[in-house]
Amino acid sequence: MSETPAVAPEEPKPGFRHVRLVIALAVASLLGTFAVYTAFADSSIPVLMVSQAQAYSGQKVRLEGKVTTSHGDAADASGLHFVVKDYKGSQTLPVVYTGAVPDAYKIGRDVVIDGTLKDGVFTAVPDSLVTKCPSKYSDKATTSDTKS
Amino acid sequence: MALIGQGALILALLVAIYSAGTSLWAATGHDRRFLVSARHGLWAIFGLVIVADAIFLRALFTHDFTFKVVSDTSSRSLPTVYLITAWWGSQAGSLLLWSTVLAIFSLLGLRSTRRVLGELQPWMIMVLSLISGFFLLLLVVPASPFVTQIAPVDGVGLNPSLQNPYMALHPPSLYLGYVGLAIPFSLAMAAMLAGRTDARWVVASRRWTLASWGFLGIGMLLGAHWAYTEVGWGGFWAWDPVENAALMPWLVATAFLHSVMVQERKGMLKVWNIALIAGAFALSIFGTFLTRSGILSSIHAFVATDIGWYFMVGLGAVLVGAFVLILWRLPLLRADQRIESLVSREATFLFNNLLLVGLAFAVLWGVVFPLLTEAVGQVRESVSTPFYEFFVIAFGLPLLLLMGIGPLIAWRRASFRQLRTTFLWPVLGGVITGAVMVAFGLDSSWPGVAAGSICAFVTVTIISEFVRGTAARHRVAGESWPIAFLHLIDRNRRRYGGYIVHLGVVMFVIGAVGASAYQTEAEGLLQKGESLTVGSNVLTFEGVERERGPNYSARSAVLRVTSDGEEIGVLRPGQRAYTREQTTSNEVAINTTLTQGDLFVILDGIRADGAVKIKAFYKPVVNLLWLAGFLFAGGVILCVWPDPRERRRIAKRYAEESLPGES
Repeated sequence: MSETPAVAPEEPKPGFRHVRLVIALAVASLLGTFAVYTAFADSSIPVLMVSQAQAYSGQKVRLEGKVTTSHGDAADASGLHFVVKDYKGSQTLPVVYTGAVPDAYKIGRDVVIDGTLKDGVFTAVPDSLVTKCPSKYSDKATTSDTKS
Repeated sequence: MALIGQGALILALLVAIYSAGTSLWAATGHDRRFLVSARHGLWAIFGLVIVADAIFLRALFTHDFTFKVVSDTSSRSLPTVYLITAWWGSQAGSLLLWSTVLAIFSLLGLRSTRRVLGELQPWMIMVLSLISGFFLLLLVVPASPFVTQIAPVDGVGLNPSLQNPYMALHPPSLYLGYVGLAIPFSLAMAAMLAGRTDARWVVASRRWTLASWGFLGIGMLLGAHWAYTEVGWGGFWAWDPVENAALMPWLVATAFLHSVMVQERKGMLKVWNIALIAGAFALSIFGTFLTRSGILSSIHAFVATDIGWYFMVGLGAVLVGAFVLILWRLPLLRADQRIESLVSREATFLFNNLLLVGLAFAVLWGVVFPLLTEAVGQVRESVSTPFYEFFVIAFGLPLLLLMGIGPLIAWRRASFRQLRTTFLWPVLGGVITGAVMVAFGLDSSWPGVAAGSICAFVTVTIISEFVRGTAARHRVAGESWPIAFLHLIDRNRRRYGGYIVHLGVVMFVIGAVGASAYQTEAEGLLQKGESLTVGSNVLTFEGVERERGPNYSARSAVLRVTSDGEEIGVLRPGQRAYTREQTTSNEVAINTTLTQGDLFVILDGIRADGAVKIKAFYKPVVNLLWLAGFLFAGGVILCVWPDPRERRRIAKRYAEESLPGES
């Protein structure tokens, strides 16, 4: 899909050359939009396993892991406290979270949260908790991650 | 039984290979009788796949847990209705559905194009057999629905999110769209293989492309409505990769639908059109692959599955095949004419195409970004909503503007004086709407004001088209206004059906802008008697209600809603705890008023002391989003509906002009 439309056979007439220039400019400005966006917008966020999180301490990251313990209430100011474990390793991290809790959230579920690790505690961005598709079921036909 | 099913699929795979071979033999000028045999082969594939379907469904409905797929996706307690949705609840089941739909569409596609494109039939059969063969191979080797085991007492059950009426319609609608694109793709490839690169394949594939595109659109809208009312986080589109999987082929197919008009009319953009349909079909395979291969969770997980590699090879074959064919046929794909002026219909179509493909590329970039970063470095990086929203605004607004400009600009070359009279009212409409929006304080979102003005501009152009056409008929043919209006649409279904779809898009945009740029949001912890204000609505918490359902216990907050002192009613957002599944589900409460919009309330939690955490959104004009679906579907049906007048017109045109290569 990379080729531009076939509108340019040889020997362009003067008027036609003008058309081709504008089309080329249009393509260039589309590409330029990409370049400008990726250069100036802080558009991406690292997605980490629990074992990788330590190296990104103090940075905003997206953390993936399995919930092992959970207490407290996300509706409370003190928040929901849970611990996530690495998918493969044995590393764990305590998480403090406030905001909406997805339907599928419970102990044993794979979750994704945005937030920052500081002094060994991962403080989550409110409302960022997302549960991943429970492995008990096969992949769904439609959505793998459902927002709360 | 499983053996018979597996046998039917293996046989179908062999027949697909046979059909591909014989049709190639017939197409290269050998014995034409092989063509008949190849066509019979497609019928045989259809019959064999139906046998496999029957065995598979029988196992599902009789809870035959010796079938691994059945025990993985259903249980004895699963309601009978959802045994049907369990069909596409598994990877093997959904690939079986793919193959079934493809087998039916292949036969219908051949039948519908036989009269006009007889000479393309062998090539088309070959391409379709190859696609069928690919999916049958997946079903026979890495994803067989007929893997057996020692039957467990009960099945695992179906994912609760699939136990929903929407899931009976949303995935099949998307599948019809994905698979439907195989028909225009096979026609395009056949046209190139046969060296018939005129616009005939375009004309013949138009209805198939439109219908597939319509199914994809409706499928996505159903998914969005499901997310809005059932998943309940307050939005309708989360830019999830699996949602994007359907959006990308839809965007490219939208570009294709527009650019083929240029080829039909002016004989231009031939290479571009073939690239677009190949891209759209490749993206539809990529979409199936995304949702099926596990690549989304991690590129490393993907490497470990076989099916991912099969898909990579299939996808590669489509792209490389199309690319090689284009290179080979390049001399035949020369444009008959060239664009003469930037102020012409063909130029606006060209810009529309660049924007649509640009947007599709942005979405693709967002989807593959985590995979690319993971493959290159150690850590996966992900983009989220702001990335997508930026491109939707940056590319979507100009696209919307072109939707108003394109239809009014003449083909070839338009004069500026002509433009001034045509665009006077639409521009005025847009400017006035923008001014009114600012006056009402809606300048909190400039993209919102821009979208509103452009929507007004487009609406006025479309309405003026209807008015002008009706007035002309009224004047010339002396028909009464309503009759003139109906005849106008009936005699030019493609054109006015297209306008109706455009109106649907405008409505969708207004709804989406209202629901995102102008929504108000409030949340609070309420004790009994306290209230929360969102927009003009005041929600007063009156207490918690408890209820026991068949397999869940529910708690809901009773909220009395008043607006400007006037009582609106009581909303009960709640949470259900499913005892057996050990999950809770949010039950959002939505108060819909047609003129006002939605009041959308989520219960985030109930504290031990009886206080409730409530989140409320007020979303103006969000209903238009869903109503737009009816205009969209209506417009598509109008365009697709068989039109004998059009068929006669095309037949006459073909009889007059000779085929390239014929004298």
